[in-house]
This record gives sequence, structure tokens and C-alpha cells, in this order.
Amino acid sequence: MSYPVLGGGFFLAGRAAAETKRRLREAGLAAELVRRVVVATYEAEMNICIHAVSGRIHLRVENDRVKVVATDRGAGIADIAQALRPGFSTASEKARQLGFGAGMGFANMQRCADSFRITSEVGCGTTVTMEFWPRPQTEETGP
Amino acid sequence: MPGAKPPSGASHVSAQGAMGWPGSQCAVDAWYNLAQGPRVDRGRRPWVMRAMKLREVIEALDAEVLVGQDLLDREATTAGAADAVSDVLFFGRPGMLLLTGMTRAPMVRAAEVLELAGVVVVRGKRPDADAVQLAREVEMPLMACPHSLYDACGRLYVRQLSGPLPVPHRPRQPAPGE
Repeated sequence: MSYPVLGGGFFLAGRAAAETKRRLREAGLAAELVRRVVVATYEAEMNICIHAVSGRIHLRVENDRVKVVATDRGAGIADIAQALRPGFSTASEKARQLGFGAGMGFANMQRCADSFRITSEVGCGTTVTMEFWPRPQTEETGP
Repeated sequence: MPGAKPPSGASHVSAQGAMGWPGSQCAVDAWYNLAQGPRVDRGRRPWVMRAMKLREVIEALDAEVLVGQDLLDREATTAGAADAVSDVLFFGRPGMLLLTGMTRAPMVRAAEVLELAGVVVVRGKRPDADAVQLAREVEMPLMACPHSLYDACGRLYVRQLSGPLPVPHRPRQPAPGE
């Protein structure tokens, strides 16, 4: 499955995450796993809305493993290490008014995902690849 | 009184089994055990926390219901406050009541995907029209309350509504090369 995401479409943002949740629930995945996937997907979607021209979120479910690829056309990230640092943000004033731009987007994605990869080309776009699999019960309360 | 039973009565919804956290009676037990480490005798809590119906919440907060007049029998098992969407996504768990100063649609969307019990906008702010519209679409109770965030939290806390579970430390999954 894949969903288009428009840059700057703040009101529509979250559609892909909501749709992802519905699909994963229908697929019968554990609620805790669904929550992590959806949180990471929402953060990725928001990043596309804030920073990119347009993008796409691809979702693939294999048994109880979920793979999310968020890819966009946009400015790209020059310094990925800096972008990943919790608290760092270049979000616009408009995005901040909406409650974004706390600089915790990538940190949330990295906490929720069980594998996280990011590639970016300046002036071209960014791709974030995340994989999720069920965690042991004792970790259920973890992010 | 440690380990004291809550007084019986319809208003005291037992927190026991309310959330079904593994190996614990309720969210408060899990919180207490996490906070105290393994020495703690399960079942002895420093205080009794309980879930609250949204009906009781609006009474406690003098809140006005903007969306979900028919959803007030929903139960909030915990409550949390945040002014950034990423923070909500970080500690939000199903059944949590969100108190926030945010007025725009994304916080409703975050509440929806996390299956929160409801959203209270504090400080007398009015949620935006797009937030109200989205809340209606996804059936998320939306309330507005005249009190400050601090006061609103305190009003729920003294009525024994528990905060969210502490999120255990988990290192970020490093990206290759980071």
C-alpha cells in the first residue's frame, strides 16, 4: 500500500497515519505494534508536510513485521547527524503554531522503530526506511 | 494510607484491571513498581488512583463540551499534558485524557491515532474550526476549559486521576553511520 502526502497540506496531514492504523488493525496486528508504527508514520508524514514539496509513504506488512518507507521530493537534509539530534528543528513558524517543530520527530521515529535508515540528497529529497517487529511483552510500555 | 482500599461507592471506579498491563493490577501498580524497582510489594500503593468518566472530568474542569456530547460515558484511565504533538506521540497511550494548549487540527489527529479518551483545550482557548471538524469526523471528544494547564491538571489529580506511565528509557535506534 502507498499513500501520497502533499507538502504544506497541514489539514490533510495525518490521513496516511490514520489509514495505516485502520489497515494494520484489519490485518490483526497487536495493538502495541500498531501504535508504534502509527506514531512513526505520523511523524514521518508531518516531516514531509513541513519540509517537502510532495512525498509518499509506502507500507508493507509481512506476517507480523511491518516496513514503512517515507520518501519525498524536497530540499533534502545537508547534515543528517544534526537533523537527528533531539531538539534540532528547522520547522517554519507556521508549523510551530500547529504544534510541530519540537525537534523530536526523528527521535520518536527512532524510538518506535526496530530498524531505522535515512538517506538524503540535497536539492532532491529524503527517504526514511523503518522496520517494526513485535517486542517482548515486558517492553510493552516502551516507546 | 498505603494499601488502603478505596471507599466503596459508585463514584469510585476501581483502577484494578482497568488497563491490563502485564503482571500488574493496574496502571498505578505498574507505575509504582517501575518507580520503586523490584523491592516493592505488589499491591501496596502510596495512594489509590482511579479512572474518570468524561462526564466527571467536565464537571471537575468546568469544561464546555464542543464535540462528543454523546461520548461522555467514555472513561479516561490516565491523563497527560503536552503542548507539542511529538510529546503527545511520545507518551500517549490508549485511554489517556490529553490536556493541551494546542488548538489546531494535528493534536486531534494525534489523539485519534493514539486512541486517547479525549482532548481538553485549556486556558480558555477555543479550538480551531478545522480541529472541531476533525474531532467530529473521528468521534474524538473535544472540550474547552477556562483554567490554566497547571490548574486543570491539579483539579484532576486531586480527584485521583493518574498521570501516564513513565516511559522506560529506550535508546534511540541509531541510523547507520550516526
